[in-house]
Amino acid sequence: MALLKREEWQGFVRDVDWSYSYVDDSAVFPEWHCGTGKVPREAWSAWEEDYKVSYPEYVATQREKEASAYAVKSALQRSTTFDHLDEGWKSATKMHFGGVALVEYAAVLAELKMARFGLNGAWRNMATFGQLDELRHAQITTFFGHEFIGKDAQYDWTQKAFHTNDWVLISLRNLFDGMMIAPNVVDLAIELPLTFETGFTNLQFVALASDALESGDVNFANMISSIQTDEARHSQQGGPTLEILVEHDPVRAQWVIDKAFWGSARAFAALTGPAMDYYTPLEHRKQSYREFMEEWIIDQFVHTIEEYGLKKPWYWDEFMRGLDIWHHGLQMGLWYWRPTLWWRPKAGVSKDERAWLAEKYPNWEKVFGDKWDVLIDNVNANNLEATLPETLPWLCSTCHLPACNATQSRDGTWRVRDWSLQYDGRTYHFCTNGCRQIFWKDRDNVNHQTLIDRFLAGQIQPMDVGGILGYMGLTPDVMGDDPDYEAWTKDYVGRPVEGISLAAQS
Amino acid sequence: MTQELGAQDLAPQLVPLNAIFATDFVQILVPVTTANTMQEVAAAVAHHVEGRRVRAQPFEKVVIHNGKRLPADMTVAAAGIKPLDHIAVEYDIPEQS
Amino acid sequence: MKNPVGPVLSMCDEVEQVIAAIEDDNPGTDIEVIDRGAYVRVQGENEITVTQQTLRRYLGADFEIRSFETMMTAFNGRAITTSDAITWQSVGLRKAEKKAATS
Repeated sequence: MALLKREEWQGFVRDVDWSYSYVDDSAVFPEWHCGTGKVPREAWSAWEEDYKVSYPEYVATQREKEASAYAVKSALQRSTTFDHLDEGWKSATKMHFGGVALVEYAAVLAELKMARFGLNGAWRNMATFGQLDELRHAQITTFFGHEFIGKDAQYDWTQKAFHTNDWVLISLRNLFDGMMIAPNVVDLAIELPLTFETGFTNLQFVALASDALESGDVNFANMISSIQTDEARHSQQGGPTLEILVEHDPVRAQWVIDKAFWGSARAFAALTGPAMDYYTPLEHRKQSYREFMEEWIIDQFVHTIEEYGLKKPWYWDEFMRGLDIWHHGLQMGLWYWRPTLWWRPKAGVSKDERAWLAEKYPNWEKVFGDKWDVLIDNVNANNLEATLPETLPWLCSTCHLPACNATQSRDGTWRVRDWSLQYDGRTYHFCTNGCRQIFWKDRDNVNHQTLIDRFLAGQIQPMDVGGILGYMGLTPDVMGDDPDYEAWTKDYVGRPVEGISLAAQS
Repeated sequence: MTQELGAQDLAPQLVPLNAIFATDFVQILVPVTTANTMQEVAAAVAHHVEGRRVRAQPFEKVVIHNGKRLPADMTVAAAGIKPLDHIAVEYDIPEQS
Repeated sequence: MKNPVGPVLSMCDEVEQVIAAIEDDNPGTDIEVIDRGAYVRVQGENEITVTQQTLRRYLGADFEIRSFETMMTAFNGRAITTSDAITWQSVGLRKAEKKAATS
């Protein structure tokens, strides 16, 4: 018996909107969850996804994806592949597991919110698949990371990370609570599926798969690629939502994208940037972070938003200049404050690696080389103490990342500048003008307290490095350290040295 | 009307600052007190950076607050530096002619 | 290419056959292939299509077009799925077509 084609029946089962006679529409679709705003309620009846899927198709396809991901995993479990992976690459995966596993779970809640409050049956249908996708991602990521705990305790943070107050996690919680948990579904569809999933996740899940494969981590490459095949589908909730919002309220559409894009760009600079340009072994790097950003974000995403009738965000020039700076500053910060991490950050500045960095980023030596040289000289003078922190980096009140973005002055020198503002009787500091501007526009939102705020409020005791590490949940068995100091300092042994830490010279 | 204590007589209060040392790559948290002089403030900031990430130079260090260079013997209280204010610490490099 | 659209395929055994199928289904369009190891970009200007019929010729008679999703980690443009084909279209072209359909 021939089955009906999907097109012949899907409308009947999917389009389940009807007029309510016992309650008001606003009782079923309250504004604070639905966020229709200036868009007339009936305009949402035009919402239609291009990427259609039925439940039987969904189940059959997902089963194939799961079977394939687990087949690779079990085949490799019996091999020694993991033991031969580079420490830097392993760090990229630890960062991923800890930073991503529970974000996938938050995304389940976000998809469920759209599955309930989405303003059209087709949208709710798609979000229902979306939440099943995200449940799979939370599970597969947690499970794949968990496998390695026996070999390396840092993988325990796959599940643990988001339950701690580590500064990296505070930053990510702030971003994803703002993007997934807090917004109404209209803003959510534009922040999460459209900006984050069609833009940025491709960087961490598709582009990084290239580096993973080159580094010999077939299992990880396969897992993230498999996850992204789901994202490619459910991210398509963004387009139809944006189309309708742009038509009725382009100013809001632009702001929602601007904010989500900036927040995502900051987070990816901290995580994907170092993973690509420092942790991935030099010989395995497919492209630089900047090149991947150009391919996936600048070319593809920006082209897309322009096609929807929106503009490049107001901070575009600052963002573009940041492509050469942000993640390098963050890399230095991650390395210097390495006891606060659940991975082993590679410095990645041997002579060959520096030559690569200078080729990809012509200003790298000028902005960062001198400081790495002092760090190198301290390591070679056997003064590791001088390479370890005794205070906190200042954390930005918007992105919660260290304020470490040098900009160039008219005279050509590079300096980190203060971006601050006064609000409600106190001073806030920011890492960039973009973060300052977003905070101001969003100033009445409830924001997470930064680690600095918590420290100064006396929430962290004792008020010293030990107290801070304890507050962040770091124990000596997982606390980050450089995996191999010699690897990147031996090129410089014996060179004349001056102006390093006095402790080293005494 | 109650008597007001002069700045000299007030017990030192903690003043956490947002600081940047010279060409360093990051802003840092540096706690000082109202009684600290600018020379002491500069040293407190330098402690975390000088010789660690920025090469030590044989010059005096100067504190800059709200765009003004502050005298070495001025206290935090006298300079009007408040908690969470930003300061920069720079080497006072003599101009080469 | 001004408006490149098309799938990004994850590395798998079928990549070459899928590219061949796409080339067959879009005779008048230049198909650009960018290989980055773990993923391969396949793209054409403004619109490209692949059909189940052609895919079956390359991948076997039992290939279901819904399975295309297992290989597609991302794509450029809007992906329009039917039970016989997948079409990738630029947002601009999609908007113009929808407008024409409603007026």
